[in-house]
Amino acid sequence: MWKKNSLILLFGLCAAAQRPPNPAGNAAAAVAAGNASIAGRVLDSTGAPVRRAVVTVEGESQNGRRGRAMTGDDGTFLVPQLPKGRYWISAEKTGFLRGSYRGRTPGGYGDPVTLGDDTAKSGIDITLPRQGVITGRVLDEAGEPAERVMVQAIPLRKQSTRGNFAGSAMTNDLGEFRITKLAPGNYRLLANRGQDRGEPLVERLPGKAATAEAPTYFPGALDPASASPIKVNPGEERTGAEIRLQRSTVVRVAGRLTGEIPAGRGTRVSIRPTSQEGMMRGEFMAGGREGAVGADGSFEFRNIRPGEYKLTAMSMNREGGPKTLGNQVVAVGQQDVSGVSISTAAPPKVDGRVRADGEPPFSFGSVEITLENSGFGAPSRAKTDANGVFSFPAVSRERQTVNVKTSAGVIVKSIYAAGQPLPGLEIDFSIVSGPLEIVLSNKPATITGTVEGMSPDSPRITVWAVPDGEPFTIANWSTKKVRVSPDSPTFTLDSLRPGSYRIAAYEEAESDALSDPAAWEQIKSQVVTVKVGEGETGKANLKVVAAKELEEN
Amino acid sequence: MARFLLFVALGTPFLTGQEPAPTGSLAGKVIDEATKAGIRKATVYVTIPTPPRTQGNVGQFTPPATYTVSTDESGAYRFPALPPGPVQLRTDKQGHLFIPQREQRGAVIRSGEEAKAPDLVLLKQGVIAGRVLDADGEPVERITVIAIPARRSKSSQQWQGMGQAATDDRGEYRIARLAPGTYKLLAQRQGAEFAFLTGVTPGQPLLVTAPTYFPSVLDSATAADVIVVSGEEKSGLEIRLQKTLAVTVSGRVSGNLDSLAGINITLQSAEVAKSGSRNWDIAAVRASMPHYNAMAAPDGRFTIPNVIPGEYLVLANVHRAGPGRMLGGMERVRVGQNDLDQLVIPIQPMGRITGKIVTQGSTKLQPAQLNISISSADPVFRGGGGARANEDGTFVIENVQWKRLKADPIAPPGWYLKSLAVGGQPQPGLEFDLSSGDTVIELVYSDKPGSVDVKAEGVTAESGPVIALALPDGGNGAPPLTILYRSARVLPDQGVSKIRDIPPGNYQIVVCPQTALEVLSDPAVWERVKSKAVAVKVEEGVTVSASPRLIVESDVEEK
Repeated sequence: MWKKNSLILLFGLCAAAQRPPNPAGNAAAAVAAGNASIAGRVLDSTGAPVRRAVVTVEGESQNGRRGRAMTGDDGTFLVPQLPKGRYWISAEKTGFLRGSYRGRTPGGYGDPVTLGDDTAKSGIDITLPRQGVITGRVLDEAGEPAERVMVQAIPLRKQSTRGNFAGSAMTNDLGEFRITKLAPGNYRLLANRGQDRGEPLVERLPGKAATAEAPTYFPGALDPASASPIKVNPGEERTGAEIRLQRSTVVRVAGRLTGEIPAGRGTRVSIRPTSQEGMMRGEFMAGGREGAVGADGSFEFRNIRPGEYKLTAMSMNREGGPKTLGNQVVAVGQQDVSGVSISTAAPPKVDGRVRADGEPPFSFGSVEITLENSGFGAPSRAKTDANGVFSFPAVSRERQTVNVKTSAGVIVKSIYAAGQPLPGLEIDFSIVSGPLEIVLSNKPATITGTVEGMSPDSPRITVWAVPDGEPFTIANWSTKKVRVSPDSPTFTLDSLRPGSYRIAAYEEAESDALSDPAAWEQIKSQVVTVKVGEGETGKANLKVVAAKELEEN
Repeated sequence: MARFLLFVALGTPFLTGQEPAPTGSLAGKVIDEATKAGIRKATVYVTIPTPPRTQGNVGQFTPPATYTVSTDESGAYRFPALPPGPVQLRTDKQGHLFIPQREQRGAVIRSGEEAKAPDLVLLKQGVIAGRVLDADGEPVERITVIAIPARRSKSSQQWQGMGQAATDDRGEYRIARLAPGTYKLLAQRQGAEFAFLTGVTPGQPLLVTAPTYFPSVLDSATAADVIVVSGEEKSGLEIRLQKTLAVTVSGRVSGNLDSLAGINITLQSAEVAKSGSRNWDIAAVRASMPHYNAMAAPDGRFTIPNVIPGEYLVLANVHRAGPGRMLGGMERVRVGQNDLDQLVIPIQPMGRITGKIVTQGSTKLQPAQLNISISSADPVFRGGGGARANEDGTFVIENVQWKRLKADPIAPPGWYLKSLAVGGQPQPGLEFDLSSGDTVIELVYSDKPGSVDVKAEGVTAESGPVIALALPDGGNGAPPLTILYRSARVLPDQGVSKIRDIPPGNYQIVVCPQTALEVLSDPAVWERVKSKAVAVKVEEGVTVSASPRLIVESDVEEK
């Protein structure tokens, strides 16, 4: 007989019913398991046990072991048969936010636990905070319930790792929606009715401008700045959010490509909003609208809402993916826009050279250079030859970031394009095309320091260093980080490019909270700015920023 | 008079300021099916076919133009200016269902005239809502609740379909847009439960959620009926999930291959094999039950945990690089209350059918027009494949997995599939067996099918959309087969029709509403209506006449 207090014990790899597990996974399951185990409890914020929570134990590497267990009525769990190693433990259940062992925020990984061959680790307690919920309904302009409208909850604070919205839901036949699993914070709601083929139904009355139903923010605003944020306190359910869909003018945007248009049918023009939020609306969810270019280079887009857009002319049939031929930013108002001119040219070939700047000169081996843009297509890559020379056969004519992968102890000192030094790492290839000169130095800068106020009990923290003037994103190669544990509260950030850095020590290993400049503003008294030159060592003493301090007001 | 809003979608050169083109208008009403009263604030859509490409459209996809108006307080609507030509009509309103009635969905606009559209009918939706709890009384998220029609709805004019919804974090579900009728509710988890488990501690039986019928039973026969009336919302229907023992199925794939790694094994509910017809059938729903998947290790061994007992089809297949041949194996398995091991699935190259078209007749037939389609004649393993004929009339169908096959009797207009030969041997019907290696078949098409001139008695202008059917006779008084049939529309005012391209044979000629077709294969229904049908013998190249009487809803309903 199945006893209620029994636990479901398991060890294995993730396999969804609809997909076969990967062959490596099955093979791994056949390998002998270990002798260590992890036991603990899952509790809610009042300290009461949470039954039927799913606990996940994850090992270190890509193919690391993973185990899942479910808590019993008393909230306890046991994951047995683990080989030695380091593991991170997290728990989830419907109605709660995710929690991790000694993690401070729902997205965090928490602290790992180290197991020896026979370690029976116990006392691993995880607290699950209750979820926040926003419910409401969407009405159309006539006041009728609007069905099949997607409502997204967009956090006020930007997030770089988890995407632009925290949760979403579709309205039912009564126009009602329910967005769950929200972390505490402030949210704007965006209601968007999907249309067939992404084209809105346009209203055209004689003598009046054409309008169409538009993605609308709660309570009834077209502009994000006029949206009313909804504050969700921990575990709170905010009800009654009524969104009234609005209409906006739609106009025609047309123009022509000027300059060199590569022959063939592979040329297209795309139109995309320039703002991040603009990207989330309506027909731009899929990344933009595209249209073919006529033989005379003309193009046209219909039913475009007011806003700022970037029109990009691309050549699709290219080795290495689509390449930008040119682009143009257009501000669309309440009137049709015609005569937009995009100056195009074939994607240029860009040559370059890497050289070492140091006394005595040093050799730097093979260097990989990547050009990345925020638009289409995969990054372009090139490698230096024995003489440090590299070449990109066809480069998209737009703003791109130059990333250089060097060996340890070697940093990029400066980059020149057509003889001019670049202020940062970005080049606009629609203006400049090279040749490029990348100067390396073997005298990187270093920043060392200590983190004050850590006790043996403290979780490990992360020290982040962001070059001044650059945005904080995990993807940004210039952002550096290092983990610091309480038993050794000093840190060293090396291989830094000379420059000025903002440094902060943040309690949670996961750093989404720091993606928003507003967060840095909030903790500015604990941010240390250090300027280091080539070969120099700077010092920074930091106080730990607790996750609580970054909570929104 | 209420103000109308005129909506126009992308792609209408019509209203972009060119010279005014000739227009006509269209007026009509949207009414409630039950009360016949007008429905206000219903949206009426008129769709006209894609306009021809003009200079302005630079290669963008141009969807058909759709115009919309809303009905006024009396349920009336009017489109003041539409381009002349045929248009399609449809209507929608929150909380309602539209009954598609074919002929009545169109109208023809004439320049300078006001066309009168047929009444568009909406039916108030039914709603079933409630909550799903697990065996311990806790709400369960992400359970699919399906409302399955339990019986034919009273009026065959109403299309009673399935509805479904998923439970939210509170375990609540809401199934809207249901036609009135009697339903059974089935709650099941999509995907196998504890799918991430690959090992279970021995000695600890694993209980998983079983597909459970409202209120809390495993057997559809004892499931409670939920009756929904037009406009009614039935809420509070709580389903308490039952548990069932889950077992592990393991075994190996065997075959003449260097390595058996990467072979995909699927366990699929065999309930689907039981429901052979298109009728709504509770067993057919089980086809949407979770499938289980596993991949074989290099030695061919596989393990599938957490399988709910039942009848399953085990399918194994893999695509090997090389001459594009897939390898497969299929077995039928009954999973009981205990772990099933030692399962062996032999795997072999899939079959290949090569063939040629032969035509009999004086009309020219372009082989490239022909779609060759073969289906499994095995009652358990369903499936099929097809190919297009080449210019020279040859064709190849690859990856044929089933042993007993039939050629599907599809043919271009004016033709019918007359006979089949395998390896040079003519077959009595259209069924044949797959051989090892290549199966060589010959399909003979004739340009002399038979036809039936139908004069239906009892059809009037008010009858609504009606069709004439030539249904293959079931023989010995059995109901006719409703899967292979020929049909034609019946013109309402005269009640005449011509059914063409009928392969020679014995048929029952029937005239009835489109929606009644599905129930005719029910022996009880056939008993009630067969006196209105006419039995005919169709011969090659011959047109016979028949005068069946119109079958109406009251004939179909149980007395």
